[in-house]
Amino acid sequence: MSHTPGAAGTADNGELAHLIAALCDGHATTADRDRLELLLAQPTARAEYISTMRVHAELLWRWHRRRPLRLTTRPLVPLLGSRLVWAAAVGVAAACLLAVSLIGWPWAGKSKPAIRLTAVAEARLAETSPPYGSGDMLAPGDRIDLEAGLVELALPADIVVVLEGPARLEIREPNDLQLDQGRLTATLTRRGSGLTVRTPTAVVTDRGTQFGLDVDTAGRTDLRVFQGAVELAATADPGSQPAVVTAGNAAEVDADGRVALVDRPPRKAFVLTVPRPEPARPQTAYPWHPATAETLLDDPLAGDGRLAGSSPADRGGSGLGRWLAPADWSLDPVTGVLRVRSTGAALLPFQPEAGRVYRIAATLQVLEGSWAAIGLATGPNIATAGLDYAWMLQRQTTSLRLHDTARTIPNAAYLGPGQAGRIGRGDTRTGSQRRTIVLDTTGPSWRVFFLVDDLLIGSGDLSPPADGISHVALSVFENTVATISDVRVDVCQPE
Amino acid sequence: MAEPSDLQSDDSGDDGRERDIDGGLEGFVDALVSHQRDIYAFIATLLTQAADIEDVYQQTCLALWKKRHQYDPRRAFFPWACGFAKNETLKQIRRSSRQVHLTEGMLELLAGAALADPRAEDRRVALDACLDKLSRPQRELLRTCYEGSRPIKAIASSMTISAAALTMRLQRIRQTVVRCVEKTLAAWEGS
Repeated sequence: MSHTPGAAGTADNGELAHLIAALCDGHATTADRDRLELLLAQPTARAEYISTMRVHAELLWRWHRRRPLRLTTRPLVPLLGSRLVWAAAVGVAAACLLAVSLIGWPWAGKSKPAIRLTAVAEARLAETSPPYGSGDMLAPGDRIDLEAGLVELALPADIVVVLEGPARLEIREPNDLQLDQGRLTATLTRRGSGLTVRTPTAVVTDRGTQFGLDVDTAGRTDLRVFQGAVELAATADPGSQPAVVTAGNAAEVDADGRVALVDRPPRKAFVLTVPRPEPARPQTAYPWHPATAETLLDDPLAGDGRLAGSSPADRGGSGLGRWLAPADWSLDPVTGVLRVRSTGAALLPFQPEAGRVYRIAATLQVLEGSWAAIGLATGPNIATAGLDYAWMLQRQTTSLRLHDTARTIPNAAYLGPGQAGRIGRGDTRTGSQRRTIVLDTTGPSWRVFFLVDDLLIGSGDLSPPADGISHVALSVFENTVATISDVRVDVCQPE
Repeated sequence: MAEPSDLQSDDSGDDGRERDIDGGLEGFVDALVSHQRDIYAFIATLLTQAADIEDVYQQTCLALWKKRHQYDPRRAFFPWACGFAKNETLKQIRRSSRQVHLTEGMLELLAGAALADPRAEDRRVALDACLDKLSRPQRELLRTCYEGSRPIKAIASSMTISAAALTMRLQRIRQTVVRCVEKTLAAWEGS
């Protein structure tokens, strides 16, 4: 394709566009590139280049068949299709296959045993540890470096291991663990199953029982047997007959490899199971008296035009007051609901009184980006979140590919401003959801209940008690596209 | 890995909400999710070809994930992330010396200019409107070429035109869209 070059450093008609296109479409020559760079020395040409590339980028983002984003540090769980990482993974896989062919695969001909990380509680992994999450699969060679909290592993043959941080654990084989430091408990319920745990000073072999191990920084091993019997051998004396420690007894292997029964209590109680979050309960837990209930505010948010300055009555709803909102928050005539793109909050006056129960609700759906929220505000701040009390957010997705399996990042509810006073562990519901905040002002301290589609997900006391609540607020996080509809506030009085 | 400091900003730029959810992992994830499109666009400004952009985007997100503990929610996430993106872009260019890329000096110049796009959201809305203004065949051609499922030569062949003619047609449509977006943004600015 020919074009007529302009003078050095100045673009003629179409020359810049042609050179940019050549670069985008992958047929630019070195001469094209050099000419383009000469033109880009001019600020106006650079501005045109960037404008074009921003459109190019947006078209690629929308239409190009892109790979799902996967964040992993393990080359054998590759960024599929990424030419670079895939090439590295192929190399590693080839090396692994070679190693297996030399030493033999221990489960050849059988289904491959799996270790699953089944639960975590308050767990904090060290930076050196891969970002494991609940549901992740682990394999021989994987290490867990747990700074604090609890991690539960399900091993083959129904063996459950609970690791308590600070702890460092390596999986040697699916039923052979290396505990360098920290505490673990193991529960074996199936007959014929076996587990070996190695520490710097001891080897513990268990065949159907329940026990706890505590390894200190010097490598000293404290064994507690809760059920059954466990074999205990000192690594410093590999030829010796292992000791058998039975239920209700404890033994210690010191740093020099001496084995002794001990009768002192453990330094703290062992944890046998990791607590799970409480399931959501049906809503019966908050006071509501239909006989005295009335609607204070009802805005379907359906229609057309800007939200700012409009009132619920403009859309056939009810309630006093007009919306404060960013100028670009508008009702989408196509979808029929408020469709929001930019960061900010929309506020409608609402001042709760003592001695009432309020139900504040909206239907949210996050289409793109991060999260949208409903809550209460103490001032007319529309540029930022404006969420000061009793608010709950909903994410576009609560299941993110952060490793080789999905990690759950829950929705969240808060009692206080910012992220203060988080309530519960959050829910994982996405899509179009009805989110309701119940504010009970009948007691000396005000109480808040959070519901998702009428399921109670948490509650708490508002402290300080709702001073100066002035608005109901809808909010979106930056770069989030969300639809919001059917905002409603009902009130009732105690009977 | 040292991150370049010239793309980092002392201006917080955040409204405090980015200190989300325990101020830790979830805050980082929220920021990454909400800025992933901007990071992709930043890379696309420097690299231009879809396969390269995709590789660098994935590598950038992986690098960010590895350094997530260094994320300071009091500082703006996007400039911090762009430091990683620029590093990964430069690595990619050094690796794929057979392809024609802009030189590193030019990339440095463009990176600074590409970083700030306060009208990114408006631009996306304007693009929607401008794509609607294209004729249906134009829009379908643009989409077919950008989907990347078929090479340009194959698309041209099915249209019984040369690849050069298709490239020229594509360039004109893209230019039409770019001019429309700029005109729309200018009109909004004046309103």
